[in-house]
Amino acid sequence: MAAMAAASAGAALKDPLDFPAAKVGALSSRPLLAVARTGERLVAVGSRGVAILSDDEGKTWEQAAVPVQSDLVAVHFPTPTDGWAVGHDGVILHTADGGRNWQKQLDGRAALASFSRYYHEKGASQGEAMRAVEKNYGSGPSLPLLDVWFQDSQTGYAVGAFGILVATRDGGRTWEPWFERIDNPDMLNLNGVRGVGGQLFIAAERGVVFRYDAASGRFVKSETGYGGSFFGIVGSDKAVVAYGLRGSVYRSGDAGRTWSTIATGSESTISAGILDDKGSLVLVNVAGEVLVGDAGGDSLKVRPGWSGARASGVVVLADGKYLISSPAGLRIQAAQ
Amino acid sequence: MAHVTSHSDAMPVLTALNEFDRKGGSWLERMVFNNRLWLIAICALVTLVLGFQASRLGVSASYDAMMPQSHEFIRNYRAHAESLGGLGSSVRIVVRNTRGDIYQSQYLDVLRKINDKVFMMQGVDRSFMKSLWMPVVRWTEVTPEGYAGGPVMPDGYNGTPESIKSLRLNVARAGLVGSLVGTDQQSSMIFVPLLDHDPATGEPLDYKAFRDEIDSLRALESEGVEIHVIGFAQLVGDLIHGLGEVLTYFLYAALIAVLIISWYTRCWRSTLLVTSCSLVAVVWQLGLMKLLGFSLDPYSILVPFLIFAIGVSHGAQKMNGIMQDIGRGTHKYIAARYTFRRLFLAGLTALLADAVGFAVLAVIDIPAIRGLAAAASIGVAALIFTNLILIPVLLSYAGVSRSAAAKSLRSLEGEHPVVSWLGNFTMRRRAIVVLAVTAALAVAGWVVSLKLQIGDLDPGAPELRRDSVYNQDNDYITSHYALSSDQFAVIVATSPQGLINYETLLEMDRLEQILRELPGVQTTVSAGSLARTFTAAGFEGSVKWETINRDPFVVQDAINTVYNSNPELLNDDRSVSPIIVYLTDHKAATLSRVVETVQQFAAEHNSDERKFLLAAGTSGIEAATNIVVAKANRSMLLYVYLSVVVLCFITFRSWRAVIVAIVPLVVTTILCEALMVFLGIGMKVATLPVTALGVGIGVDYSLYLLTTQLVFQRQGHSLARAYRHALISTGKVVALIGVTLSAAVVTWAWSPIKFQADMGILLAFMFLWNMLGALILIPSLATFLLPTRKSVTSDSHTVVAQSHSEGLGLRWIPERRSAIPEEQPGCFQEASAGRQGVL
Repeated sequence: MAAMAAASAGAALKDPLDFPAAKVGALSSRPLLAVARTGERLVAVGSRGVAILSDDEGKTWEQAAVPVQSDLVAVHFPTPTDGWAVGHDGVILHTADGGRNWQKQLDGRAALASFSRYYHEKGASQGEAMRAVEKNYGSGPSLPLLDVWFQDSQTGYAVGAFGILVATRDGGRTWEPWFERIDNPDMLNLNGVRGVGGQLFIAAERGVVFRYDAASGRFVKSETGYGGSFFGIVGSDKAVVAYGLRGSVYRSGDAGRTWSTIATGSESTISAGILDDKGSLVLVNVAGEVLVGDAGGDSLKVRPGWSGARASGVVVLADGKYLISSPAGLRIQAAQ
Repeated sequence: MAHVTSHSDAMPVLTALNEFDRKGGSWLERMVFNNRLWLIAICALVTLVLGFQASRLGVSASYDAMMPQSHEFIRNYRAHAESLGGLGSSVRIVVRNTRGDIYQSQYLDVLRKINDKVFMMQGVDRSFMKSLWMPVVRWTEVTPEGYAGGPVMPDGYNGTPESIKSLRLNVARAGLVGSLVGTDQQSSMIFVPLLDHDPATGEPLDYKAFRDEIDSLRALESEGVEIHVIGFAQLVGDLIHGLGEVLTYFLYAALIAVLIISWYTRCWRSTLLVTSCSLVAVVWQLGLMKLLGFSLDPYSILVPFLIFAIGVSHGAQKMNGIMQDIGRGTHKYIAARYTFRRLFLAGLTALLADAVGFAVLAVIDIPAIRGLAAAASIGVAALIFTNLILIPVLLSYAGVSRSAAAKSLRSLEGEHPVVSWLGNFTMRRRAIVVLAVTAALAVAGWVVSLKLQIGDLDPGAPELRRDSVYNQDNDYITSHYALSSDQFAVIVATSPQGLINYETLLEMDRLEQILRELPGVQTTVSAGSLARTFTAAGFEGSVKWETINRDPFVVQDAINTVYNSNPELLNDDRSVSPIIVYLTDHKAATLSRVVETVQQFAAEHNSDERKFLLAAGTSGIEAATNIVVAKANRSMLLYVYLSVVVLCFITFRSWRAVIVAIVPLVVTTILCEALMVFLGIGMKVATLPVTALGVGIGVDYSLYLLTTQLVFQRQGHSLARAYRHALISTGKVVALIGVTLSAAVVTWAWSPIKFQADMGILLAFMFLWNMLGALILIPSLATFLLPTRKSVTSDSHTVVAQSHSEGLGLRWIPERRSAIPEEQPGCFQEASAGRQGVL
């Protein structure tokens, strides 16, 4: 209905939230801000609602049907068929067919009403959370969700700017605000969320990592000793690694209680990282370099990657090569 | 016109001057011939004055003059031009280091010298000039701390390896490779935007002076660099330079004309007289242009050729008449007066027909074309004095050589083989073949002409030849720089501060995305897409923040950063901003694709707050020109044919005759368009006037030929005989005009300016083909459309038609129809008989 109203007004702005992404050409050269593997398939998402998928290890791509034109910045598939993507305008998209068709579960406009109602029903004790909702969504859907991670097809989390944290227990049919369930009074940007070794972590500003404490049902703050921003979490059973600004990497061998810094030899901001099938850590930075280390995260070695590209995401292909995403598109890079 | 029909009585052969009645003839004739010395003195004085003016006539060309002034795109551009820095006329100077890459202090020193000289040149829009040495060229980088930047040339550069190293780093950070630095890093570019008018004085930019100044930079090539220059100002400078060369072709054209005329008349005296008078017309034309405030541009420079050729053709006719009279023994003064009496009106009508062709050009809303139309009209006006009045007067003194006069009379007798060959086209069987072939040619030509392209088809500057220095420079720059110089700009207009707005930036970004999908689009740049990148600067350089955000403060920050790094992308008021589309070529199809896409977008997205307007940039202007040219081509053809039809009808008073006269022109027009397709010439500003000129001048042939033929037919002669008579008399002149005109314009084919060569070839084709069409098609068509109703059986006389046919006023014939008794040969044959008596 909103779409029709906007269209009939003619000159009124077509809000990116109300119109499906345009079909575009040269798919692998689009600005792509995240890439993920789901079974045999690769899915990448990016600017203006573009989502693309490949069933032949990145050789050919086709465009998925996305109901919004918002910039998408993160994508995660807990199962081969179910996946979630998040991005600007506070959108959360869900696919049940491995990334071919996406449906909107939440956006910044709907969040204001739904979250206000949620806290209103919870009662007066939620004043602080109410203020957080008002602050974040009061002036429209201007804040992005920056990362999403699902533990399985039902339970998942999304984090975003100015402390936005939402969670679902029913595969995204309902999303709950978790403002009151994190020690984040300064409303730090929450840049990344990831489950590592059975634990759940959030990477945030000012060198803060939040760890989910199952007993209290809350994210608790863990100081790493670093002062800059972390953009994401990666790791294995052996170690948790937080990465961020200017090539900073911090490692914890005790599930995020204590942290130590790791020298990487690169000063470029690390934007994404994964644990590959062989148990190696693979990170990419905004200079287009690839940083590779073992599962323990004791050291990382800088490898030449896609020089000059501001890499935004990485997956490892079946033949061991890296598929790197960036605002300049995708590139397959031989591992060296 | 009574003087024509009664001329046998009024124009007896008089050898002695005192027998002649000086009070005879029209008031104009009396005024002219009874005050010959005065007239010559006045003409001499006028020629002196105008000659002086002509010597001061400047050559120029301006960016403005090529634009279709009232077209919506141009009006939009004009309204916002002040806010669109660097999108007007500009030149790009590429300085290549012949000793390696650009990171050498010696090279950078030479570059600085060139840069400083260019900076001081008159007409340079200094605030938007860009080069490695301009502080406005900055590197910017999105860093964890936000946005970092500085001038690409490091502060305190001193030529040390350290400062060159930091320059190299800055060039990389600014992403200049491919835009201001060559892809092989062996050259760098100085981008020089120009002001079309001096903001202080309002004087238009002197392109020639500017080009000469740029040329003087080449002296620095001895210091180990190579200089390549492209851009409209340089192109125009080259064109103006080429004009000098074009003028030398004028000498060839004149020489050829002299040879043709002297071959025709076999009399040097009169040949020189006719050509000098035609030259006088050219001098008058140029002088008048100066007085009226015009200057010669690459288009109007061609007018003198046309004026000269037309002048020579008409002059030859005057001479022809006088020769015959003198040949019969008439005194040269009286012969001149007779000729004036007979031919003034006919000549005037023919010149007016030419003028119609020129005048129609004025419907095209491009100053350069209007200048051409004005120059040509002025020239035709001058011809009326110099060739219709001055030539007879001068001939009345000079006379012609006896032998030539005798020869001209002899040529009226007997039948030339060409005449009998052409005459046979009145035979039914041949006529059918001719018409069938013509129809086939016309249909084939029409099919081919459907492929006629609008606009320029070749890369680089199609105005110049492929191997010109300019186009070589262009090739170098195209192959060493990524961003094309074919820029098409969409103008985004909002209320003040309206660009600092999420919706505006979003819409700009959307249009860019659509445009980038189009074939022929290299890339696009605008504040919209740049705002995306710079938004991330506010969020620690995170890639995920490359977006256009809804928050007004975020948008404000992003726009400020855009303004700092790319001041040409928005105005101080934040209300006007271009979306610059870099195109791979400037073919019409590419341009119209962009235009249609933007128009469709604008229709859906324009609102009270923001408008997407077409167009700016060289390609934007070209798109507007193409649209105007495509439209003008049709409407101009319509007008020129309408006026020609009207003119023919007034002359012939017969629709059938009009058809006979027009069909050859139509066939030629079609074949001319087909020829353009074959030669790879597009329909553009330069080729647009060709058809109008071709048809306007070409109709003369039909007028001359048909009027004579109709006179004979109306006297009762058979078509075959009437046509043969017409051939002997006017047919010869038609052939002469066709050959002279073609010879004059075909010399342009050697012009260094490509479009002049195109015009020359096409006009030569039209003049020749119109001539052939008239000589062959008119008899064939007449066979079916204009058969003589009643033929004269007795035809024993050799009919001398020359003096008559030339004397055909174009409006008198129909009224005479009833006056000429069909049974009797009428006054005309009496006249002939009289003449024969003289012989």
